[in-house]
Amino acid sequence: MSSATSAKGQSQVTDSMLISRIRAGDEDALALLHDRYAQVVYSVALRVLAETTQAEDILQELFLQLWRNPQAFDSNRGSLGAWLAVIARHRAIDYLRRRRPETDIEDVVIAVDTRVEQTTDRNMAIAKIRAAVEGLPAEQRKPLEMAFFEGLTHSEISSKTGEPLGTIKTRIRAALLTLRKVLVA
Amino acid sequence: MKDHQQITDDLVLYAMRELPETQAAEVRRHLNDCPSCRRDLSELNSDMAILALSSVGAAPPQRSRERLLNAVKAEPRRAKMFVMHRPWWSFVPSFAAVLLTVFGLLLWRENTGLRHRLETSQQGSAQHQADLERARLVLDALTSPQSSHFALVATKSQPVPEGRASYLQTNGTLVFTAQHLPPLPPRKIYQLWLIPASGSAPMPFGTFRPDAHGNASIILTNIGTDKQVPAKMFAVTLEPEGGSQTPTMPIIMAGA
Repeated sequence: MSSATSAKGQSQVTDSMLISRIRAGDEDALALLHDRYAQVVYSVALRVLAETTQAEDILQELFLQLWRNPQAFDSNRGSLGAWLAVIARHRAIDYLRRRRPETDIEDVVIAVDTRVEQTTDRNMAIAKIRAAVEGLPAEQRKPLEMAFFEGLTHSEISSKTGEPLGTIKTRIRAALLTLRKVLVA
Repeated sequence: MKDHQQITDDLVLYAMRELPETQAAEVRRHLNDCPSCRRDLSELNSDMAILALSSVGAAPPQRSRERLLNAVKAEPRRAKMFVMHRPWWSFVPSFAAVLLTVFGLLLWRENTGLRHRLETSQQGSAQHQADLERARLVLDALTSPQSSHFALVATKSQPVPEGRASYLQTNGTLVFTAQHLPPLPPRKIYQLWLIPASGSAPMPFGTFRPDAHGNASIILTNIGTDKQVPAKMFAVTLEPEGGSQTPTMPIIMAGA
């Protein structure tokens, strides 16, 4: 069997199938999921922490947790890639705030079906999202990124930017809504 | 306690893990009962995912895969499970077991509730019995021929006839006791009267004879509704044997 055929065969294995195999103790399935989503988890953590060792720790910790508790992911809660991206962000923020991880990995439900299993689909989706984020007005993008990637509270953003707290809240909400519209369009 | 609108306003903060734990706990409680907020939160989580995915780019070091697999090997071995496709009917026993468990839980819950109600009812009944017994003892003390009654008056004064009437109009009950009554003349009897507050004619409330010590009592229950009127006062007269429909003067005792 050629490597191209093998890669094609692997890409046809869905995340749910891999999770089922992990439940059965299949280490190869975990390796496949790692190949599929390590970049997502690592780069989200790196964006927040700006430190490669800590980002790698988050990556390791998250996949180990998935190995220990694969039933934590329920495909009804959304796509695995989107789910891992959110959990990675929350874990990295916990690191940043030097606090005990408080994100319950069973607590995150994703409504929009953001399919990022296939590398091609994922790259297209990410390009689209990135363009949408960059297309946000600066007064919306800035507080959104400060809150989401830098882990600043709305009050901290308010004092840092000099904008009223209510304005910060409104702009962050508006930015999220804009992104939502772009992706589901 | 925050209302729905306040919780809705806080959902972005909650989704970004910005709320202090006390407020986050309040939001979680609200989410348990509010499908609309649960839907909003899951959409916000999707927004978070979109935003997180916008940062995807850097690849992890090659060693991370090996590091993970080594860590997995160091984990305690998990019992391997066989994952195989099974026909739908093979799930019937499991489904039935789940149904039975749920049904059993429901029955247990109902049983617990019934037992609780029974205990409450039994406690109420016991209290009721105790109240009845106490009332019976009080009545016995007041009315039994074996009771001893003592009247305390100022020393060196002659005892005078006196009576005490307890009247509960709402349930039609009267308890009347009297002491120091003079012996009845021949073919005469004492009669109790209710003088209505409305000013209408006195109503006969029974006749009575004192015992050898001058004591007497009347206990009336289930007084007819025609006689359950507000009382201005009670009075006692001396009447011919068999009683009268209107009082005969003079009044022996009266009290408001």
